[in-house]
Amino acid sequence: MPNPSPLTEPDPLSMNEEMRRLDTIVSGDPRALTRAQRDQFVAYLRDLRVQWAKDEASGAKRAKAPKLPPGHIVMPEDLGL
Amino acid sequence: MSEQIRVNNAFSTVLPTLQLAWDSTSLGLLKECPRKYQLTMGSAVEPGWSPRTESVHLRFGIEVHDARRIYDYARTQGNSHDDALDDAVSHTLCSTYDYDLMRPWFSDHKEKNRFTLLRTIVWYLDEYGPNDPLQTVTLANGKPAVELSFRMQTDIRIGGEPVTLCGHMDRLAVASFDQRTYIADIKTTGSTLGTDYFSKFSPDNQFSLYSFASKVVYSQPVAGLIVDAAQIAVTFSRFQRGLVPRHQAQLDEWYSDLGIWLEQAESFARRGHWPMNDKSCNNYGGCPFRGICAHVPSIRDKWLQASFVHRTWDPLRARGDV
Repeated sequence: MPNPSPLTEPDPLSMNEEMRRLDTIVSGDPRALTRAQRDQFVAYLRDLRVQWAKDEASGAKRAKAPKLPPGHIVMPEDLGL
Repeated sequence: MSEQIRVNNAFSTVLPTLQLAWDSTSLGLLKECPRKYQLTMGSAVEPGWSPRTESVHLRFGIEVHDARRIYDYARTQGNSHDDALDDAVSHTLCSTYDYDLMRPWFSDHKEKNRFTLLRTIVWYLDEYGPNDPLQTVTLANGKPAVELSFRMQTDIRIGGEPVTLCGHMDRLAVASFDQRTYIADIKTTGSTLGTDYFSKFSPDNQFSLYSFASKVVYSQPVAGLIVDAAQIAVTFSRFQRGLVPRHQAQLDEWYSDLGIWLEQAESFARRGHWPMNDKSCNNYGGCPFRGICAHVPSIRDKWLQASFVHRTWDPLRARGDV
């Protein structure tokens, strides 16, 4: 079984240098991670979210459009109840 | 039964195959297929069966719930959003690491794996953590109202014994938009989120049971259920929140039906036979026991022993602090 890549499963070949560095960090024993290393990982995930939101807003990578506006709470009347 | 070791306290001591304490999982199994129920639940003296291979969907859901719980605990202790998020991330990194093999949890599911799990947790808590209109209730003991175990005795009796409803609710929260208290739950899915997705919770066994029980077991009135749905895709996690309504008349109907379902359970237990519902075999991607039921009855035990492991699902086992 291949060693899993937490950042890009199942495609570790697509990693850039920064991702490869982070991947090595979070693939290792998590007990050895420092707060700073975890913060880097969280920052990476937040960057991904910002990029995804931009792509989605521009329609560049919108595979399946959201059916409801972001933040909308689905109420019984939305369901016809 | 006195000479046999009791493995599951949810069952009767008089009729060991008759379950008296029901949670939404076991009740849902009974409604789906009595045979699947019996194989999964076993009895007072025999554990049930579970597939050897772990369900990635179950694992993923448990990890997300655990992360939310860790986050809520940290926030209740006065930690900032970032510190609480770090607690949740740190916990998840550790819980998804195999210390025997010294390697991270491996899932070959393209949408539900360690990376998408951590991404979902961070994105979800960033979305609903710091400025959430649903604020987790703090209990009198200072702990957050999360993973709340409940049990309530009903006036239904089967086999002459009283029936208990029990389970675990994710979170009690007060909504800033109406100042009422709700049961909040998280569901993860591969489906696109929309009204179609939320429609499937009405009717729904789990949420009807939770709504019914919440009217009785908590000191503060519960207005309803709110689901935080997380759509997990390869490149993104998307979230949508929805209210799951139940009128009192619907809950009364559900409870009345419950009595009939449990009469059936008693009937099956007394016969010592749990019929297959062969219209359910292909639901939800296929029943794990389909391959067992496909064999002639005389060799099913051998197949079970080969591809399943024993597991006890005791609904009375508490998880939370209440």
